[in-house]
Amino acid sequence: MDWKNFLEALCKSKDYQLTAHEVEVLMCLDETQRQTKKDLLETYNRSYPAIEDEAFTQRLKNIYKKFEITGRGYKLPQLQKLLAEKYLQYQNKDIFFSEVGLSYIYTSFPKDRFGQEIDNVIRTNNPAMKQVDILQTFAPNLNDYTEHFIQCIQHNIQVRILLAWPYSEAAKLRECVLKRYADRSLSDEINICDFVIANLETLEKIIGASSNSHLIDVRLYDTLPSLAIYRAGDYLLAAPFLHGSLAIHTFQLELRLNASNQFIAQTLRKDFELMWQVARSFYPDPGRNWRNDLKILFTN
Amino acid sequence: MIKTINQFERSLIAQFKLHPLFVQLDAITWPHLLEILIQRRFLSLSVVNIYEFAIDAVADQQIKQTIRGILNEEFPRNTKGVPLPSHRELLFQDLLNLGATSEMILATPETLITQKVRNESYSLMVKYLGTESFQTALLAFLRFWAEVLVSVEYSCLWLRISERLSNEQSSHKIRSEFYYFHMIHDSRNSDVGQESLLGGLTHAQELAIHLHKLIASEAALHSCLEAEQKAFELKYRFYDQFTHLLDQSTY
Repeated sequence: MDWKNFLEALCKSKDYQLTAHEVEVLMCLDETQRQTKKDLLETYNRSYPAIEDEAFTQRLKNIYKKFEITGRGYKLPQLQKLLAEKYLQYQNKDIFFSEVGLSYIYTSFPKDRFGQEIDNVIRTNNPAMKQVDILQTFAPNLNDYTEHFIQCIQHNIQVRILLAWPYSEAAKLRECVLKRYADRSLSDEINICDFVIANLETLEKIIGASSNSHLIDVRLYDTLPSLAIYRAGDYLLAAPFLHGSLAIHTFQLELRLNASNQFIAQTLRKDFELMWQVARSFYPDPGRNWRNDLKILFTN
Repeated sequence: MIKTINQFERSLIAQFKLHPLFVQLDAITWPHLLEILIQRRFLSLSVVNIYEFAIDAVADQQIKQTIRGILNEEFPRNTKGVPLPSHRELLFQDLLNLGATSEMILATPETLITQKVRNESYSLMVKYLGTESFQTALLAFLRFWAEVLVSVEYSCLWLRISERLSNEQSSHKIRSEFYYFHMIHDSRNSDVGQESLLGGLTHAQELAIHLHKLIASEAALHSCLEAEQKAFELKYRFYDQFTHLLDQSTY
């Protein structure tokens, strides 16, 4: 990451709310910290349509305010010093967490928060945001969102759910791992086949209670994903499948998918879409003996 | 050794499909087809005893667990523990949907040959006890008799069954809930030793994984081949009893 990239990332950051004119000024700062105000204005006037000294000073004052430069003495050296420090920080971290969309890390799954985010999706008028996705082996918290999903369907929101095919070798392997390494309270009762089928029974009820049930799209996979994903619009929670615990009982990365740096958001979305493509559709139709279909889903 | 088993199994299956009844199945009248399926139901009902015997007889805990899992699938429950229609109920329903009456299914006596095939199958498993490779013989017999050949039988019979039942939701035909699904999830599906980590395992493949581990000596190989041959002969004999129906066909 060079100085220019750093300045660009900084200018995009929502923390400072810089205007387009202020961004132009900031982009004229060089890395050496030796520019005087006069040097800076000259640089500016070479790069952009020339402006008056007073107008330039006003823009700088706004920038100082937004960066909270309040110390005594000349403010430009203070701004340069602050930016130099941030640049060093930036280089150490390579990229800002906020820039990649990481907004928080929870110690376990934030049940109410995800519910609120689904509510936001239900209320939004933005068609691009009308999407709820879940990727899990089985979702122990699926019942918490039954009402949300029914409302999603009523509001024409697509809900996509990716779960493990319960008869897959991968699901059996995950069960063996948890049985062996998770703490006693979990390992004694874990039965992935039953837990996925319980999720399908919940979805069957949701389908039964909805007139537009094609909006619930369920697919099952026979592989081993490494992250659980819960997405509502541009909000996403990602958590690892650890040996010692369920994905909802460990740290959850809270991400915004509209981040300026799409590295993480795009990677997770692409992998979800890839899994979605290779997984097989399964519809727990209340009017059908779907357990028979489930057993042979990947066999023929 | 595994190559020998795979070649042997493929050859037995090919021979089985050439049973005169299957070759000329189209010549069988519908009432006769129902007669065959009603007799075949007695073997389906006996599967539970065969499986229970195997669970008690095998020593290896992992094999026991697999066999138990397959048997439990015959009696599904939802995750609240409420019993759902068992596979034998689904068989009964398929037979009704094929045109048999409840009385025909329930009151038709078992023929002597069906009874003999059923009893000899059980006795054969008893005979394996105490032999050097008894686990191999039991498992090979169980897999071939109750899974591999079942799928072959139903795939041959499906040519006629599918005249009245479908494998999908269809507005014209009722869906088969027993024959079709057993045809798929019991099938051999791959050579022994070639089971994939991705995709699903059929019952025959689940048992094949254990069988593969047991075939570690010439004696075990011999027991396996002999058990499969016996399963083949018993099932073949079961269908022999119906070849006379071919002479009574309207063709």
